[in-house]
Amino acid sequence: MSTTTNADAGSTTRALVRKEITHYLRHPVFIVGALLLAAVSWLGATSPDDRASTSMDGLAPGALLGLLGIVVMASLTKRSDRAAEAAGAVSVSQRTRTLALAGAVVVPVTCALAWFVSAVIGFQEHPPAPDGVQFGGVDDSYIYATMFAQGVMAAVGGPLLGLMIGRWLPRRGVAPVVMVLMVLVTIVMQGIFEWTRSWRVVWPWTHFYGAMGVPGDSDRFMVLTGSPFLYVGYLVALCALGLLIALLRDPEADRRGLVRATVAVAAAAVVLLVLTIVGGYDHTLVNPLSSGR
Amino acid sequence: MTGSEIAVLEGVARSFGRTKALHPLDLTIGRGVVGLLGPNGAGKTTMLRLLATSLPPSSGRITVAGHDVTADVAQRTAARRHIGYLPQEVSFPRGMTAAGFLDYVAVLKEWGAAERRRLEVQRVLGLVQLSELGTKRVSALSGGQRRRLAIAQALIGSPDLLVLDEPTTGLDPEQRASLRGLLGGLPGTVLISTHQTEDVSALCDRVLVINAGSLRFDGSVTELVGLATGRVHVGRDASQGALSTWRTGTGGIRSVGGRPAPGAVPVDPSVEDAYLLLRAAQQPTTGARP
Repeated sequence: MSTTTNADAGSTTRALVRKEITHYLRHPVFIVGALLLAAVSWLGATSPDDRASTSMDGLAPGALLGLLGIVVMASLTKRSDRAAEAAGAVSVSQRTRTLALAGAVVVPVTCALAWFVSAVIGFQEHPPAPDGVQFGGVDDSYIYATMFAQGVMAAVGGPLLGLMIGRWLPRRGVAPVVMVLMVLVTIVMQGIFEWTRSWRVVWPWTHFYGAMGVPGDSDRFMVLTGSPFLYVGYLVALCALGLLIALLRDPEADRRGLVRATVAVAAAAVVLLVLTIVGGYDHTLVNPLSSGR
Repeated sequence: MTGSEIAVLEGVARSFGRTKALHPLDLTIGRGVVGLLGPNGAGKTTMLRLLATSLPPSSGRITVAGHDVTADVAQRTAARRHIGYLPQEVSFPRGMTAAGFLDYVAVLKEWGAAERRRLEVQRVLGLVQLSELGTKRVSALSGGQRRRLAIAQALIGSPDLLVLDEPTTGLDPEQRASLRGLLGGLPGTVLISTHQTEDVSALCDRVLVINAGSLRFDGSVTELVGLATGRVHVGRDASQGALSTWRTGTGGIRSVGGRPAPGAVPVDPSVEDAYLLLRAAQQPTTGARP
């Protein structure tokens, strides 16, 4: 007689989240990314020349946790689907499995938060030189918000994008292709091209300051338009949107509530995007001091 | 529904586009081992998938353990707690060990408590004689071992309704015999689709024969074999118009169906003989069970 009436939804979901966290932690792509991030962070922190710039740059966590997270999560989603298919029909819904997979995002986020804390400490101990980013009223929180958006939010968004791909485009090779496309578009949208600067924040990874190529002094710092604080809010909305879109895939679930929530979050994302564009500095600022290089 | 019925199909049909895979079917399944025979493309897998709730019917109603799986998700989920299903083809997730795979599937079957789950995984690994290979990666297992692993996942939780789609594929004779012993000893209902008629005769209390999406026979093994009584002969020559003939080890020619050759003697038919004769018949045949 059946002994499967262990239908405590809470304990099942917790067990599933723990499983997915373990799978994420053991995924070779994640391990490689995390080790590289640790190495890059350590090298940056111990190199006097690069200390300030490296600690402020969210490129490493964005790439090593966010971009690689796309591949990791798409792979875990496929693994979960295969296990469910191997069992034919299981009582745990696809929606619960999707939520559990989303729960595994805690792994890259923890790493990103560790990087963020170390970056903040590094920034405080070794503040940028006067020819760096802090001019024209740019304060510490502006820097922190940018680092948080580029590092921590990327570590959330990348894996959630992978989850969305795993749910809607579960074909082999799609995740790596998306990863490459993300890199290519990010190159265009990071702010080095003047024609993208006013609306670049539509893209989920961009710069708010940096050496963006002042004529005659390519290393000279400038601060770009838009608000990094509101940008974090916009990214949170995008992440929520990604999760909702992934959840919508379950063919057996009642989608009405989810569709309403998706529309609401999408609307919030649009509002936050507009606020990000119009908030913050309304024009590009260039550090009056030359880079000295 | 009475207490002994685990699954009831009422007017259940399934189409894929214009192809009717299963014509409207009424069927009640009670305790015991039920064999499902039929040629490739007959609709066996469709019927099993419908019963396992992995495929919704185009029309009709399916009840499993008192839950109407065609009603809503909640009913379907409740029914799934009583079902163990072995699909015909299983694609295992990459990078998992045998025990890891079963542990994951156990969670998907709502085994939340870690220690109970561990014990259950050990139990089903033991049932399919894979206890020693629990730590081995699935990719390193042989075809037969993988098939047994797939069977093990279906056994998690000792389901009331065990639906097995060609479980003996890839198993050697010893493993098949072992599986028969296992399935024969289960207390619930086992619905097994197979091309191995020996498995049916050795194991099943009831046989269903399906062809072209319609049920052609529903009865006991004895009743099925009875259809062929007096229609299988061995003689020096083949029966005229026989469905199947072959030379036996003693030099005679065994013929299934057709007009017996002079001097040919009738022999005891097998399930396979009866199945071949049944397939050849144009009209549906009904056994003793409605």
